[in-house]
Amino acid sequence: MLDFNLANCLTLAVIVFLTGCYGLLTRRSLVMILLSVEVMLNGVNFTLIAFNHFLWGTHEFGHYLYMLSIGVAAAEAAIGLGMTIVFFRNYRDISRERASRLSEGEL
Amino acid sequence: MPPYALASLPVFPAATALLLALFGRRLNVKLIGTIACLGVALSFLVGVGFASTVSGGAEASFSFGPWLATNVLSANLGFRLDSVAFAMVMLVSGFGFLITLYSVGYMHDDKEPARFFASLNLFVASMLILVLADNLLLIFLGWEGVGVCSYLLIGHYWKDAGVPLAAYRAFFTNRVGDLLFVLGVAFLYAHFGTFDLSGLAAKADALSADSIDGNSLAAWGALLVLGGAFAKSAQAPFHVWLPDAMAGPTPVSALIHAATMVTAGVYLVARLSPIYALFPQIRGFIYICALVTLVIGAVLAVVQFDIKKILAYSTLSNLGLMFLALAADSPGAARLHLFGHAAFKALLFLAAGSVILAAHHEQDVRKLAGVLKHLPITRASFWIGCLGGVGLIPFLAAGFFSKEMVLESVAESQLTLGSLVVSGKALSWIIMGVELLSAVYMFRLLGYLESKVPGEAAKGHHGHAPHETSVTVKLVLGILCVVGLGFGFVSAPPSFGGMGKGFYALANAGAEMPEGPSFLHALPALVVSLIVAALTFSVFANAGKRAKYEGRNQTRGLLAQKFYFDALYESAVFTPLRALGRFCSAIVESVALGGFELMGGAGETGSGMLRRLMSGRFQNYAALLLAAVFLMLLLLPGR
Amino acid sequence: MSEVDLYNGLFSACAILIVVFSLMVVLARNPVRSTLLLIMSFLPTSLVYVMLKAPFVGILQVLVYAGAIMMLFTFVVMMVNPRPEEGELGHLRGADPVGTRLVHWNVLGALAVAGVVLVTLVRKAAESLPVGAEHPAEFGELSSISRMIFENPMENPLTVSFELISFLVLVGIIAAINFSRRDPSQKKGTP
Repeated sequence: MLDFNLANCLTLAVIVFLTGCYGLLTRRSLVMILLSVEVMLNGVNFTLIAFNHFLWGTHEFGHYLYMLSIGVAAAEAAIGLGMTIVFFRNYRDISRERASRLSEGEL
Repeated sequence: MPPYALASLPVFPAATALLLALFGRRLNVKLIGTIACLGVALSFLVGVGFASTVSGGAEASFSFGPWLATNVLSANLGFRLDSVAFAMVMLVSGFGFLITLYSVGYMHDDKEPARFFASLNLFVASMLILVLADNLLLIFLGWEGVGVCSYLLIGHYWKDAGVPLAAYRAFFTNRVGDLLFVLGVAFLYAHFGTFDLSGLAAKADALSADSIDGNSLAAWGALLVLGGAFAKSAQAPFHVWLPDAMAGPTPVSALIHAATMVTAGVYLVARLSPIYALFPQIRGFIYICALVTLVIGAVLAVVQFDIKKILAYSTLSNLGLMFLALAADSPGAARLHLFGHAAFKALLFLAAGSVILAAHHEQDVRKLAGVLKHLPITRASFWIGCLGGVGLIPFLAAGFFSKEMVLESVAESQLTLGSLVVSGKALSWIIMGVELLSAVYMFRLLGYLESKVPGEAAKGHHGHAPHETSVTVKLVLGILCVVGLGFGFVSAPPSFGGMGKGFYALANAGAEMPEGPSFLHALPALVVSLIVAALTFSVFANAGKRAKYEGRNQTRGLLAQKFYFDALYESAVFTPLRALGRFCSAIVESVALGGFELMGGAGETGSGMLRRLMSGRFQNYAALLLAAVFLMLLLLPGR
Repeated sequence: MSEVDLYNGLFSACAILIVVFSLMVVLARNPVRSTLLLIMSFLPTSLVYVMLKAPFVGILQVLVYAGAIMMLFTFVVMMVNPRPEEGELGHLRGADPVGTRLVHWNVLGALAVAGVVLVTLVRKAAESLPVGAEHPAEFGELSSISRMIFENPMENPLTVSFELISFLVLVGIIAAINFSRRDPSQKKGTP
């Protein structure tokens, strides 16, 4: 049984964030990488709410920051997915290996 | 004229210079020349407008406001037109206009007329700033400006052999002088606490030679400024650049290296004469240098064969004469000779230019023998100019009275240098003896040009005798003949009727003109000069007689080596400098370049290692980013 | 069972679910499954948000995040239709080339070290930080949040920055459209 306190909430956030990191560093498909980023973002957003609840108390600045954060997440998802679609349309492949070959001048 | 019109004086030629520099390439020579003339003529007219102000003894001044304002330095940006400056403005803009007009004819087939006229206009603008400036810093601005223009114009025919070197030489000699000048200005400021010319003069007037230490900052400042003036006015030991400067176009030699720029040093020292009056030792130094220059110029002018070189050495000699007057603490005489010299020397140079133009750029007097026969206006100009240069006939010769004034002022002074004291009387006799040489070189030149037997160049091309073609050349020569003749009258001292009183007062801020020589006193020298002149003329006008004087000592000996000044500079200045340069470059190559190589090698190795991080795989970058963020988190203070 | 015990129990359950779902997101071979699992992980998250007195944020998490953004992902995944990745989890079954396996274990090791350090740090910090004041009555509800953001709009800096977020999203959408638009100079039908 875990106590519902700041320390545990933050520990949960760290674990979620690192899970996202693992996906970011190891997955090969661009879509999966973007999904991992969403996981990381989720972990970060969790800390905002937890801090606000346990430490601040009078105003909802953490909630406000959360809203900004999902705005950014939405924009990032739109652009990232748009790029993925273009990439897929051009190469019929969305693996990171194919994407890395772009830097070697292979179009 | 309202005072603010003063500001427009240098602005007109500067504006036309800018215009020509920017757009001149597309215009033809006549249009360029017209624009250039217009700029200078406007300045001249505005200057004339100030005549009424100045003739009343008043001054016009205009301040642009503070220029430098710091805790330790303060200077105004301002112009001041007193009668001295007015006379100089008339000289610069008037002669500037005439010579620009002359250049329209002279440079009619030049390849790069826009550059020439732009530089000429810029020169006039800089010179006007120099003479109008009311403080030493602003004078320095004009001083540098005329130096640059002189360099540009000497190097106008830069494709010809030796021309860039001559321009370089003039520029670098002047740079040395400029350095001395700036240092001197700083010293003077440190002692007197002002850059203002009038302020300096007032403070120096309040002192006397006994009350000031001969080793003070003021003395050193005066000496250093003198160095700058020597370089600009080609006094020994800085005289070497002036004869070389004849590589430039002839109108440039007339305007810059005879009439105006080289007299800037005289003008400046005359302005600061209250300071120099305090230091007899420095004046003794001026005596020596000026005397050396006088002798060098006069002697070397006798052995030259290049028509312009003869005139250049004669200019040296005359500048020496002006500085002798300054050494005698008689700025009035110096200024009078400055104007007289400008009158006849510009005329002579322009006449020489006309000869050169008619003879298709031949400058050797042996080949030009007899050329004047075909060039009537040039002939008149040469005669008037030579008479003026020798100062042969009172009233009719521009230089007669001014030279007499110089001699008289020297005779009344005394040379003091260290423990050496020489009376002025003795000096004036020496100078008179040297001045006899002016009769020799002038009439030697005339003798050649008037020779009965024509030289190669005087025979003409394709059956056509040399002839004067350009209208503007003839027009300007005519005007300057009148000026040259008129100056003899304008400079007459009281003992000769005193027609010159008005001009003298104008050029010397209202000072009273000295009595001048009595006729009896001038007569013996005059007679001797006349005899020498006649003898010289008869020898050199005769091809058979002059043959035995030609060809002697042409490559070796004291005269051919120009008194070994070049060799002296070579061994005493340039050789050590080159050795220093080689030494420094060796150090730079071994130490500095070695260091750079080391750094380069380290950079290459380091970048080779760093390059592996840049794999092009984005997940490597993401890992690096996360690691960096993690490390930064650990470094957060107060965790 | 007291209220505290109820909270603790709920939190424990949600925490376990969140971690498990997140792990499955990054480990799943099929992207469709990953996407759906991520949505699943958002549901217990929003429940914890409600427990953290952030009911409005919890609603946003479900509506906007799970409902809108993740739908976008789902659509793209279906459009692109990526094959399940070959060998993605091979290191766990020993079927992967040695190099890839090494990379995975390296990443896992580094993340484990980072996790231990971070958790230690975070727990120490959480214990040393002072506890906040009591929450006001409507804390975390829409009325309170909107008052904070929109009250006195001319002088409230939050208003401007909140409105600017809409610009950010707009720019993102324009960029995405611009990316995925077919080049009009190309012939129709060619990819």
